[in-house]
Amino acid sequence: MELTILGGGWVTAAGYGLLSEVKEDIFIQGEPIIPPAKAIFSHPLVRYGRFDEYTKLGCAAIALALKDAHLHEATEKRALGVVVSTIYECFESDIAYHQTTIEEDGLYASPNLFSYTLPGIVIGEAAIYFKLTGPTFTVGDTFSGKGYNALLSAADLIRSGSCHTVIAGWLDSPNRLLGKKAEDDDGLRGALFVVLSDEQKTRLSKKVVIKDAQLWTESNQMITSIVDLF
Amino acid sequence: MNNKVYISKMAICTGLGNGLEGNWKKLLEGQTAIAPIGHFNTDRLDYHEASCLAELWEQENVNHTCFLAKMTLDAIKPVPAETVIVWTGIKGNAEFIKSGQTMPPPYLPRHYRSWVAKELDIPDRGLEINAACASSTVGLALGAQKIAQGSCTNVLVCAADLVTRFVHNGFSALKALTAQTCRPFDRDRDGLSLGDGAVAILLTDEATAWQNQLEPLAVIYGWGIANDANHITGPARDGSGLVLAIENALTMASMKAGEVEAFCAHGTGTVYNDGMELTAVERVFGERRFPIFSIKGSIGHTLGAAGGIETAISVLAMREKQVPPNTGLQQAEERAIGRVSDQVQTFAGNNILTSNSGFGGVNAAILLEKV
Repeated sequence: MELTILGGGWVTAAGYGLLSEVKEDIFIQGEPIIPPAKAIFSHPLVRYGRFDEYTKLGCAAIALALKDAHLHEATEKRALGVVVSTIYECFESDIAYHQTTIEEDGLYASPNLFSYTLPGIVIGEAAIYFKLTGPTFTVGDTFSGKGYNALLSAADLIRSGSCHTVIAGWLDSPNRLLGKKAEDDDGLRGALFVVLSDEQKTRLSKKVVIKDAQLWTESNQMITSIVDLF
Repeated sequence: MNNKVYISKMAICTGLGNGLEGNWKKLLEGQTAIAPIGHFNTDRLDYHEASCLAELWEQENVNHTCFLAKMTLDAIKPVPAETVIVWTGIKGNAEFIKSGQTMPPPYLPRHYRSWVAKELDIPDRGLEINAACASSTVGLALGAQKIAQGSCTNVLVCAADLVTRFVHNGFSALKALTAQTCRPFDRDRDGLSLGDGAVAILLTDEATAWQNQLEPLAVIYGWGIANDANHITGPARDGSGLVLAIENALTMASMKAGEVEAFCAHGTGTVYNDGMELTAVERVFGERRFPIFSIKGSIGHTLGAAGGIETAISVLAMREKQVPPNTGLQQAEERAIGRVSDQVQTFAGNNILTSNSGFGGVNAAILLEKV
């Protein structure tokens, strides 16, 4: 089965942008440069400034991916799915929330921070803003195969007929509070998303082929990470 | 779907105890495990009860998530070597954070998946899924999808989530807990109760079940996942996300709403969740009365494990042609009258619907059929 990449968005230490405009290496070490709201949202996302870094990164890259796919404007809810691959999930928010529970046996635990201690809340925020009602969940990831599990899960959803279009990609925010890192951590942080679809409106002329439960490019190169698509 | 997807093995552990059949018996008797919390201090809070497994919290210097999950893994052994593991526990890092980050792995979801592989002595392959309180439901749906598509022959969906100080304080801060025992679908329900819970469910195709001499217990023949795009912690009051998930499951199963015989609801006992579910029921099923139940009045809300535990109980409900009482129910809210009961309800036992909804707007529904 062949799927079309309708668009993509990225936020890394190299900046941020659209997949259709990528000209140089965007995947470099360092702090991701999170775009200001006015650069990515056509109408206000009021809470954006108060989001944790993980949620901000994810919403920004999803917004850019939808913009690249010309799907960023919607007047009604639509059956687009979202699958996010992540290694650390929202660990930083978990620690930030936990710190509010230490005093007075939890009496002053922050309800706002607690709400962001699930890795799928970033998807919830994106779903509300962009009116997305397809399947939504996060999957675990590996440093060597960033975003691959999301791409494969998205392809499976489309192949099963669950929905026609899925935003899929990788998201990991910088570790500021977590004292130790996973043993194979490569230190790269950011968010890369693509919009995968079985619909025939080709914008980028890029295809993903599903064969033997694996993903391949049109030129028969095996896809092992979402980085292969950027 | 192409290949038929069977539920071939199931194990659960809850505050009612370790073991599926023991839990089933206690659920039928209307027992509840919800009682004062003993393993952390709740004096400064307004909420003091949850469904906790005493033998779990007697253990010191252990990873309690692993300890709880191990009970279900031990019960489900052996599994075929080519099993794909889908870990759907959602807060396995809570103790790690509490310990000041000195606890060794597992703490990331992928650590838990690897740990499961070691426990079962099978190769470490699979993935971890987080869809908040619908995680194991989504895990079962995606596992079924992989088998149906022929991507693999068998999938183990497993999860364990705990009543931790981390989670209890959070739900307390959100004012989402009840000060008593939760009362799903009750007129005066006022919040949820948390619960310890673990589940392991082995899905197989027909050939794998045959080759491994497994007796299929039920068929997953439809599922749906949908977001309501409404609010990160509150369900859409029109039930739109759940309606979509159920309708997608019905479509996949080529089934009409009128054919669904019973419904194991998420039924947390919060005003908004249960109200949303009843709205969705009316939108999908109209005025028709058929058995609806929630087991959270007995075992509390077991977070990521909830959907798997409820699926296992639903399979037994089909086998016994009866659904457990809605423990905690005193006076059903008007729209639930004739649907939920504080007594056992009987049904034909041919099929059952189960669903869960979670933070982030996610809803997932699974249709089960008897073998």
